[in-house]
Amino acid sequence: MPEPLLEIEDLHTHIATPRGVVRAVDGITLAVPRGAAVGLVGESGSGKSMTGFSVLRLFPTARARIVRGRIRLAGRDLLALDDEAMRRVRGGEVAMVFQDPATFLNPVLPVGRQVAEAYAMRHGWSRAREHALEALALVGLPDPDRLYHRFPHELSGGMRQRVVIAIATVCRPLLLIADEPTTALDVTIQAQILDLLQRLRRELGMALLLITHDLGIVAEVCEAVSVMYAGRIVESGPAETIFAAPGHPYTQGLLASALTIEEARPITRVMEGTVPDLAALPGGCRFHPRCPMVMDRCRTDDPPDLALGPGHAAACWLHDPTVAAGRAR
Amino acid sequence: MIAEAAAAAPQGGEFWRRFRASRAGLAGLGLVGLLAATALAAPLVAPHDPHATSMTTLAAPGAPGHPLGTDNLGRDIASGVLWGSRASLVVGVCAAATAILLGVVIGAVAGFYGGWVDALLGRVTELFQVIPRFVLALLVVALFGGGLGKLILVIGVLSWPQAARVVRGQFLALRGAAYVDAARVLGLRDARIIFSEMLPNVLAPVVVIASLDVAGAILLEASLGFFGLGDPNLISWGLMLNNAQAYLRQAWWMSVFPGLAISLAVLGFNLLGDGLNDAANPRLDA
Amino acid sequence: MASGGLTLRRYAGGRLLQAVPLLLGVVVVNFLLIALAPGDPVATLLGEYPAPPEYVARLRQEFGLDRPIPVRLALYAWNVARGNLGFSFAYRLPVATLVAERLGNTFLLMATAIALAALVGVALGVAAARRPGSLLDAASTGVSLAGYSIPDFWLAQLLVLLFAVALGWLPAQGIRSVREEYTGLAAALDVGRHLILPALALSFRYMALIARLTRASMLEAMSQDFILAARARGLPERLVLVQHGLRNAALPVVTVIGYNLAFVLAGSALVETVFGWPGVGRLLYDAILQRDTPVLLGILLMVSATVVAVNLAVDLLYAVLDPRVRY
Repeated sequence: MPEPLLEIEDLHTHIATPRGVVRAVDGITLAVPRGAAVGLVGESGSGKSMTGFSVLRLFPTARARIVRGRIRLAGRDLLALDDEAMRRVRGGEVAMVFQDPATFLNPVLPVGRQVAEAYAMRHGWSRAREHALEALALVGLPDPDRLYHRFPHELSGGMRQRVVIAIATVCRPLLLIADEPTTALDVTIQAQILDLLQRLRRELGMALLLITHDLGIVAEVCEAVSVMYAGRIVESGPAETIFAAPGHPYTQGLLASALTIEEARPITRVMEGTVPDLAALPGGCRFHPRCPMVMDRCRTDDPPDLALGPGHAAACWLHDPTVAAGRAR
Repeated sequence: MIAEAAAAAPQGGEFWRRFRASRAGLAGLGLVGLLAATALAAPLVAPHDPHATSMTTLAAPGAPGHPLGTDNLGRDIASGVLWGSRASLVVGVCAAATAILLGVVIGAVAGFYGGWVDALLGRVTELFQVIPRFVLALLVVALFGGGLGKLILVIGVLSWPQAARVVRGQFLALRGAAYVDAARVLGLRDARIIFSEMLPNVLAPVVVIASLDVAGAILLEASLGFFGLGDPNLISWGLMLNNAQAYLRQAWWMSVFPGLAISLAVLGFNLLGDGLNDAANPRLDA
Repeated sequence: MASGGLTLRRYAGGRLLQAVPLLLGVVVVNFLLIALAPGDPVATLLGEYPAPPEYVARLRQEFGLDRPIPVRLALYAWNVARGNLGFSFAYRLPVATLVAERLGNTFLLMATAIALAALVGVALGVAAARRPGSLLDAASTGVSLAGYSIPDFWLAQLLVLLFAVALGWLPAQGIRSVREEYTGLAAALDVGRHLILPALALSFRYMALIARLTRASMLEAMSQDFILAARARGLPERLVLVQHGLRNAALPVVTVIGYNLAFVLAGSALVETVFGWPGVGRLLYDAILQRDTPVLLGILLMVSATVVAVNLAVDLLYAVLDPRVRY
């Protein structure tokens, strides 16, 4: 099997807060093959965004640090690079788009200029404008020549997000990390943006790490899914398998309480409780206070990743052979 | 219900706790306290009558009986500095009070009624912001005379835009609040609504502006004094600096000490204003 | 969608229209001062100088001093519009001429001071915002606070005491050396030497304000998402700071710089007096000493008009810098 494009191994990212150290990412392992789309799913507070930021080694707060683990991009260890080299990776091999296009763009610069700037940083200004216009057209924006001079506040939400994607992809990154790319948009626009991302993947051969809480869009776009809870990955595997037969009670709960874009199923079950405070985690399995199938063992022992099938694993005692045998009795 | 809504303003205890935590605020309070103490104690502590001329002219600091030296007419600088605090404090505080009163009334009316009332008052405010305060004050005092009362009035009247703007902003925002509608429904008269329901909420920012206004008033009074205007019977630091101008080469102490006094007084009120601002608008930690 | 250029012109036109009532308001205020001052309005208009009776009669006629107030106001406004700001008997020149002669010197001083304040102030503010809580930040805040509290005329005196009296490096008075006759470049340098201390004194307060504002504004701007987004694109830090951070942070700073001009004007009056700088401020001081009322009124008018003009310019500058404002 060819080497994956992105390999995250046992990543730990901590945030220093006045109340203590928050283990936002507490040992996750994740891989994104070349050209593939992988979804990272979880509620807010699960650490999924911090995972994305960790790959870029860029955090919204100065208090966050990667304390352990390895991140390899096309074989290169990103954590070993110096600041200048890492800066060149950002926007070059790896690009990231955030949730809210309105705040992603500089309000006082024309949008075309911002796309051109991203290109010019790497390749100089001489042909930056052409490439910017090309990128704007590629993301499906009409009349790029006139659009080039518009300011962000003159555009609709969907158009802004397209511009954001144009900025991210103008340098043909190998990997695009999209953190909630559609959450701030209308449902109809969401579908368009997802189509755009799919198309770009095909045309540019780009891999996609889709970070979201919305299982629906993951089902549409991704081949593999990892489910994150309280800083850990609790289940991972091929998308089809996970959606058909989720192994972890948390995943089951997410699916049951979600609506997909195409089929509006009524909400059959709402998950009780909230995400735990990452500075004060419960003992044993992190999910046990909310788990409908909690057993005694869950309260005391943290379950390891247990295999359920080819490429499919979940961290839940339910799948421990001894326990399964016991339950079958 | 109305009382509950009004209680949404920062609570007294919380406010003071935050103020105590502000270094700027405490330093300012200290300086202001010093100024007040000096003003009160001047007649007792000053070694000489500040108006009294003598034969020891242009004596350097450290001369017997004149710790900070004397001016060209033999007047004791130290006494002048001490007595000058009275004029500064009185003019500063009273002028600021006038400014606040005017500003709050105008701002409240503009913010509460909105529409053309607001527009008209807005233009008037803009007019007063365009004409430099200092030049206008100069002119008024030059034409109408400059006794203490008039000085306070002039400075006060020229300083209202700041407070008015803040109060207006708050009122415009609060106009749509539920408890205002509730008060209207209960049939309360407009004036009553303005005074008892809405004003308490603007108290915090107004207090901040008040402190800054005092600083500005003291500075304006000193500037007028520097130009030789103001009440001639008052000892004014600005006037002392005016006097010092001709003797800069011979007597640096005539300039340094009164100027230092002005700076500390103004600094005190500015710091106090900062501290009050920190207490009123706590910045959330990023 | 309207193109940016047309809207800018329309915006400018709108602001220009709004400036007119302001100017009228200033004229009215001036008039009220004359009308309400105690004593004979003629004495107010003449100052304390004996004037030939023919002139007094002409004055009465020109300003309609025997007519009702609205007429007098109209006549006064008309006179101002024609450029007739009165006559100074102390200098034996029309007020307008007196002021015009000195305006250049004042502008030189103010422009230098503002440029100095803007450059140093912004640099200080940006530096402080980069490392909040550091020693540099604390020092910058301290300087700002001091600058805002120290009266500019006292600072001027201190500068004279230090650099002219104690050290003897720089001149303490005037715009040119009186003892030498310089020409060409030497003359310009001579003026420059005389300009340093007054400009420094005048700029300090402004510098403090700008530094403080820039710092706050930069901190606010740099915490926005698009800064993180810019870094995520791999943009070099300097570019992020200037193109993305400062570009946004500058907006409120520009506004405040402009709208505080009135204070710089006032400051220049004080500083010019200390340094004997032959500008409008010095004229103001002398006019007060000499009770030359028409000059005082004329200065008030011209100074206010200047502030209106600058405010207009600042509004336009803001619209250029921030495209969101034009709509």
